[in-house]
Amino acid sequence: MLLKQLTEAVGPSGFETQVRNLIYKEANPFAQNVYTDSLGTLFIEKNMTAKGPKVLLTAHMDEVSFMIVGIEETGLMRFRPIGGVDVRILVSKVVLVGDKGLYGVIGSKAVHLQKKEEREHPLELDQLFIDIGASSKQEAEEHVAVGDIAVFATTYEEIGDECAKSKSFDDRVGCAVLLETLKKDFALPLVFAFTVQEEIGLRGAAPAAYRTNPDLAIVLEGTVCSDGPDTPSHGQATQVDRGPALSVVDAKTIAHRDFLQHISQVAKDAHIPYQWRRTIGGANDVGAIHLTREGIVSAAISIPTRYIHAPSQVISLRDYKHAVDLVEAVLRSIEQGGFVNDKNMV
Amino acid sequence: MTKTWFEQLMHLKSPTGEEKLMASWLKETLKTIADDVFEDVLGNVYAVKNPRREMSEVKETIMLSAHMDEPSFTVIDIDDGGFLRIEGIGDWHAVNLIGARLLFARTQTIGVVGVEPHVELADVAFRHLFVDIAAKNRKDAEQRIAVGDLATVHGAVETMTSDVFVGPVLSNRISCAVLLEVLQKANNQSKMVAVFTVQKQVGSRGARVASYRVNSDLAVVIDVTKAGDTPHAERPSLALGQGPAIKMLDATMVVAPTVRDRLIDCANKAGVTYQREVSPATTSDANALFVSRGGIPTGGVSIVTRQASFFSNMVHVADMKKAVTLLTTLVE
Repeated sequence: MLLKQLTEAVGPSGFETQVRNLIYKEANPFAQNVYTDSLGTLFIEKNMTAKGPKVLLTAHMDEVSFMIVGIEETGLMRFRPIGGVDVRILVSKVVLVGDKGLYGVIGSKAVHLQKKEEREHPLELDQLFIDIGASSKQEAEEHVAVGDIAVFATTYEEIGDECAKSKSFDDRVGCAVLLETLKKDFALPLVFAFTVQEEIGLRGAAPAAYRTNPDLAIVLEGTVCSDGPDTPSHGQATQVDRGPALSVVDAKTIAHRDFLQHISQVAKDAHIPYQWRRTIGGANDVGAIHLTREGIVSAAISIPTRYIHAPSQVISLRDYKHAVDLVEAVLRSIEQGGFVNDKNMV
Repeated sequence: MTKTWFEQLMHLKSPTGEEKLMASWLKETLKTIADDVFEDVLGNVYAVKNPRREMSEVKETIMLSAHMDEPSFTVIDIDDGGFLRIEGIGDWHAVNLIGARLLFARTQTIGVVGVEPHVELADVAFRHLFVDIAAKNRKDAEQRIAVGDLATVHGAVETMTSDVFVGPVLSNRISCAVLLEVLQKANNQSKMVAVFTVQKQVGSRGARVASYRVNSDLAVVIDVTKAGDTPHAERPSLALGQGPAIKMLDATMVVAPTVRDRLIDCANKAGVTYQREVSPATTSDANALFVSRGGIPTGGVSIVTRQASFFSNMVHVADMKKAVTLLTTLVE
């Protein structure tokens, strides 16, 4: 199962090899050209000699994670987040450490031993450590070195009514949508870029867009969702099971109105549910792509992801399927000349 | 006359991210005063003079830029009662907006900003604000407004004296009026590209792609800067009506001595009194133009405005006229 394999693979920002190898194996039989750039982004090209417009589709391979920054005499390890993590939720979580994927537990001082004032504040990074069961620094160093990475150990499971949980739907769900899409045939030149280092500042996407110089770009994301109890409508951002979310304004992008309008019309015509992403917070690779070179017409299609940037993220598999359908419908419409963009509009 | 261009422009509201109204007016107007006029995918509008002149005949390509956009608001939600929830795009303080009128660009709908009761003024955030467009309910509101629609602060531009105008957020229209006038007046031998940029308020996104495209030998950004000639002002260096301010530095860049000295020489040559702009808190498109490709020599000419708040910016017509003279001297 694609989503299980993808979400359980280890891929901190800058350490995406495992994910890249998995995607490469899955995509290679369908690819015309395959290559990586010097940052590690994986490119899959199809029909590059077909009549345009050339469409770049991207999803990022990296996930929020941790780096080991020090090992204490006790064998307990100090760590720092790679990407945006809410430090308050880390205590007692299980992680996988280093290349070998050793189990570790994020520990802290026991609640019984905390002073009253300590209990009143969430634990901070300096009060947390990763415990791999080593009894000394020397023993820990036989398995782990400073600079090694760690990820949440959550496995993929399907839960409830067509939902699933995993550690990394942001953005392996986007990678899965791209993989399903690249197995289909379109009479368009298509570049699928599985980008790196999105979580630490959209670093992989700009070189990918510069290199491929597409006419149109579509980014697939797992995006923030807060549809729990007591959240007013204007605080939700997105809702699970209401279809893929289309971004209008976020922290790094104001949408290209005509392309956004086109995508929403395609969704309506194909009876695919969609929703607007109703927050200006957060960003995705569109922020880097649309400002590349002379400007690139771009859009984001996102799968609402509850508890994003946390150990157990939850999505609706129906939203996932609808995102796959929407991407296909949009590419079909472009294939049929339904969206034309002239870069120099007189 | 700069004043005339400004009078034509002053009614065109142009929220960051939806600059279409001003862009289409500019494209139509520019056809009569430039050789090539076009728009890029972000919505920047370009006007080129002498585009096909051979490089051997021209000294250099000069890019002059002015931003079209104003800080804006976007709709993130519509409730059952037909009230809108918004977020600010740009440097807004939510509390200052209570009671303001907004103009939504797409449908020219006017709304009034209200605040939920029981919130201390000091604690007011955008989540406490709502916009009342006099809708009966959600369905009625949705006839005029959609999630993602963009708005600006609504309000008329008025004449205070024969020389001084006042209005909400004038920076874009002042700058564009100056650029239009330079474009019209300049009888230049150089290749000159005027760019009216989008999305300055969110980090000079338009300027970034424009500078890449134009790849000029020199770029000069036209914008406004804050006056310091009011009671107890922290930095009393710049004054209204004392001439254009030649940029030394702002929050985004330090101007190279060669570039700023060239602008000073132009001012002296043209007999224009100027001020020196050292505004560490003022943002502009300068950096975005500067760091493109291999680095583009970039400077700035700013119009000093008194900015009591976003709602009331004051500008002196003489400063605009003198800026035009300075810049015309530069491009000729």
